[in-house]
Amino acid sequence: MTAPLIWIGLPAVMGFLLVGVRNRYPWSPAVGLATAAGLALLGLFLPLDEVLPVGPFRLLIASGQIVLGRAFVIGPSLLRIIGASYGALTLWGLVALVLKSNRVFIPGSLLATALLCAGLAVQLWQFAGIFILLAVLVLVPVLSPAGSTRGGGVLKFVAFQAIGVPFLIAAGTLMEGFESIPPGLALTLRPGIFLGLSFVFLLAIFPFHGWIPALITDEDPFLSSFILVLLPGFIGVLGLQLIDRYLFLRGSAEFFALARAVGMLSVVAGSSLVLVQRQAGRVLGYAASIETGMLLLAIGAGPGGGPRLLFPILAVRSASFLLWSAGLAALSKEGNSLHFSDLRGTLRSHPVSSAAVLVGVFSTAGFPLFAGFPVKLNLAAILAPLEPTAVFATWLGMAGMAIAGALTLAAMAAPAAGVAGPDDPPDPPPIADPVPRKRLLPILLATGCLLLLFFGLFPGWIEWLSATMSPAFANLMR
Amino acid sequence: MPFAVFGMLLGIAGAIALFTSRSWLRCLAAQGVVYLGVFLVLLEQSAAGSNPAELAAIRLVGGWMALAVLGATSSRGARETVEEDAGFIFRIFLFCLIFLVSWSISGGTMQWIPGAAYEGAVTGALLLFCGLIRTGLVRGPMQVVLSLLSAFSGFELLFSAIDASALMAAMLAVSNLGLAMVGAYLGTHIDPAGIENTG
Repeated sequence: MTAPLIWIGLPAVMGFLLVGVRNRYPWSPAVGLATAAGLALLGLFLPLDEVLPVGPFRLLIASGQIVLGRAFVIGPSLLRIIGASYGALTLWGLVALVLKSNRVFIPGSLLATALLCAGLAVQLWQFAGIFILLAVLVLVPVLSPAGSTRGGGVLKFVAFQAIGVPFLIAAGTLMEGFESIPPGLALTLRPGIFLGLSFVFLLAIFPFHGWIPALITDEDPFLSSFILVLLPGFIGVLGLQLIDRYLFLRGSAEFFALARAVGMLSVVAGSSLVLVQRQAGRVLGYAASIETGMLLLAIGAGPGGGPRLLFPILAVRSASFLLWSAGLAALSKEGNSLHFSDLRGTLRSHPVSSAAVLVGVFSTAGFPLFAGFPVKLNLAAILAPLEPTAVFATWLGMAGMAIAGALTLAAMAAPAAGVAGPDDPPDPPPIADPVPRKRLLPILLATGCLLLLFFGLFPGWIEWLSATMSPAFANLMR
Repeated sequence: MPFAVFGMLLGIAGAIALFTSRSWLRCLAAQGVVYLGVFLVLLEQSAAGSNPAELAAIRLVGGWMALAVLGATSSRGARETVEEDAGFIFRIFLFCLIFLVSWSISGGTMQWIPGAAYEGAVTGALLLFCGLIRTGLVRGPMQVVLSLLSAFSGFELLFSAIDASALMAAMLAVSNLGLAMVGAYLGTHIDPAGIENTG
């Protein structure tokens, strides 16, 4: 038994099989969720390369597996990262089940996560590009189910990701055997440029971010938001793996300065553009741009800083976007277009969904008391001695998001069109929260809001994530 | 060498037809010609230690299979034509510009990609740039996917000079096939008139 077989092969096969039986509702998604939850628990707690007594048997789970002559290795720390990914997938899948989202979501996302894990585990990492492209292609039916007539955003998403992949493959091939090459040699220029281009496209860095608002406007905000968490998360971890592996990257101050500069550009552009948005879905899209900028700033924080900052940023992003997009999806299912003018009065008519949206926005903004606050504070504290301008960019991103949050709050709190004035008869009793057929959704959303507050008040739990996963980057943590 | 020169000419002819044609079937046929051109160039340009015929055949068969997937969907009524938002003269002018750029940087391309032959460098860069620019000019899933396939064929031509792995060639062929399936899937239910250009 090997770790790649369990955490890549099994979910890939399960995802593939479950696509075929997706109409066996709710058994099919329940099996998918159980698989993801099981993989998460095993991934977070199971030791590798150790003999485990299981009743009368002895079980050894090896970390490596050879497939078609290529080695796939999942070490103990990478296993924790993969386990956390399946954990996040379980939560997203649970909300998708309650929201009665696209039936391909759970099997498709299971398959895509397995492919992305294969991208992290494969030792000849130029193959990671192929796995990323295949994951993107698998996600297309998740985003645009059969019968949907709009798909411009999905098409842009596929096009931009597909353009980035060849650069990643070329960089991987050119960097073979470069592990110990010191920084500053002309030899590293070509693969460095290819690598940079690939990450610009794959992470949708300004000005190649156009597909994000298009996707979130065209498709279900919940499904789009899942993509905006899944892909940047895996690509960020892949980036950190590469920095950890190659001396010419981790030893180069210029490389980290470039990462910070690109991060600042993304944060400043995103926070400027988010202010002019009047559609709640597009605000979420630009928030993703800002968060990607923050991710680059975290990577640019240099050896030691990157691994410590990356996982808390990704965890808070995943939780905040889950809550935010679930709230938006619930409002959208009630017939709202998510334009600010259509959201008037939702704070009274749909309090839990609106609160989920607002908590998600303000947590992403790093508003005090929410989970995003300690993470952003830590980022600014680590960046301060390196580059004060980056701290300013971080504050700017937080301010942009906070203003966007205030605008969303103002739109939701405004009286609905046609609502009576103070002298008119009293309001009718409030309408039940959206998706009333499932009382579970308001409970889930309320729990999510409380958890984001809890992690804001007790940030030690987020630090635990960082402490558990950062050993995957041994060279950077040295 | 004659194979490579003939392949380069086929690649250029296919790229012109793909870039300027508005008929879906002609676009499909043009990409088929491009794959044939790439096959001929690859017969004489491969990384050290590889079997050129094997890699060239993988790319040809993979590419044609992808086109078959797109063609099968289009035969069921999901045909798309290139919208007239970029005129014919403009397209010809743009193609000439791309060709001049690809030709003039061929020396640099051969320096950047060790092992690339002249024919491979010119054709690869031309197909890559044409595909990328065409992606921004067309609308409709199948046309966009066809542009991406064109860009990928250019990339594969350049990439084959540095990578001799048959597994990578096969994985790229699987990716091409996957792209074509996504194009066919989106093409069956998305109205091209309702979406903006990809660029």
